[in-house]
Amino acid sequence: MSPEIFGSAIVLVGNFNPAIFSPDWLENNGLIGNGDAEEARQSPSFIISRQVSVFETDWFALQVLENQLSLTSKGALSAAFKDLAVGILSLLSHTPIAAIGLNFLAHYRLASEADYHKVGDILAPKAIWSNLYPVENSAAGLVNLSIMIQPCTRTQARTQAPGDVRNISVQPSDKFKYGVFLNYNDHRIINNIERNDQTMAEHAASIIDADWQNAWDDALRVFALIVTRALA
Amino acid sequence: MAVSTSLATNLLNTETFMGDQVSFTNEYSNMLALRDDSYTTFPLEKESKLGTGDVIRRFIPPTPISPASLVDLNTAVIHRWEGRVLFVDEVQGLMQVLLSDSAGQEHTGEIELQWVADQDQELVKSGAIFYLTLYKQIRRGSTQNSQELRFRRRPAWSKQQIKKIHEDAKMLLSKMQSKPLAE
Repeated sequence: MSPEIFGSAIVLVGNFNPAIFSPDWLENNGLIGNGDAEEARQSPSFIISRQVSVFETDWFALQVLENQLSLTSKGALSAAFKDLAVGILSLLSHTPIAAIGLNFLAHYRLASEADYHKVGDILAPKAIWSNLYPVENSAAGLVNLSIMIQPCTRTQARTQAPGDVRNISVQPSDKFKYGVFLNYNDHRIINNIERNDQTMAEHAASIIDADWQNAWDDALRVFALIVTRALA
Repeated sequence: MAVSTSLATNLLNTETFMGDQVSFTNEYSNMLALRDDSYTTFPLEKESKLGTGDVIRRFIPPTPISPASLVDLNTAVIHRWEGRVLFVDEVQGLMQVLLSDSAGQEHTGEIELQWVADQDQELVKSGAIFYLTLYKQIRRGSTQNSQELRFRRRPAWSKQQIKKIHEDAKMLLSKMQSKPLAE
């Protein structure tokens, strides 16, 4: 099953200087073309300041705060989006980066209201809620379901510090009357142990370069499984 | 939809989650009592009057916006290829390319240079990498297919990176030994 809408966002947690992130800076460093730079300068959300920078083109939107950088895809998603994130980090090789989020989101259109409720009922069974709030005068519905996947056993998960995790959430879609919205967050911690002689930003860039496309494929696999198994 | 406290609390510290499709800005701002409806999304300063009638200005940190709320997504990829330019024929206005899809299947083809964006024309040369994406777009309730060709852009090597490469090469060379000559 394929999504009707699909996008990505790369989120970096670290220490940034928003004022340097401008369309001119990206263009002068060969990361975007002159057409994109001009479009970004004309974007309605355009702001460059010490505390926040925001601008967008027809294929990405960039928001930089002092402790977070968010790059969100627009239009057709391609590896050029990942290249932009890698390129930015390559230029800021001494920026402290604490964590990376490789995010993918999708909206699936379902065939009917019955399918729409079936997905919610499978993922969040309503028996308890129906006992508490009788169906004669109450409707219990799934609004948001979030699951964290950790690479350890359940027992270990209770005691060890969270490291790299995947967060997957399911919500009703606000794009389609009978649709499901899914969000996949591949959260990576940047630590000192695995970096060898790379800086934090260089290590973050290498992770994004190596894993973003794999995360894209895995997100599609997970989304399709969730929807098809819920409807089965 | 209410945003959980833990999500909001973690947001500024460690969260890399894109956030809900509905902007959590409102709920988060309410929780931290930062919201003031008279301001735009990025309130940079606020005037407040002291009892003396003096007006002071203080800076309010910008309210984080869910990245997902910055854009209105309406596309989905149908198929994607990574391409490499094999040869450019300026006379015919064509480039011969090798396309690879995500399944690893390759095929060659020709693409007219008119389909390359003006800003990417300077990137069209033998060996250049580009991305060809076939996608669908929902507009005003109808779905249309379209395609996009975008050339890869990477920053030039920095002096530090070049220096590191030379150092690594020198180190590797020092470990190499010439083959013994046959007697």
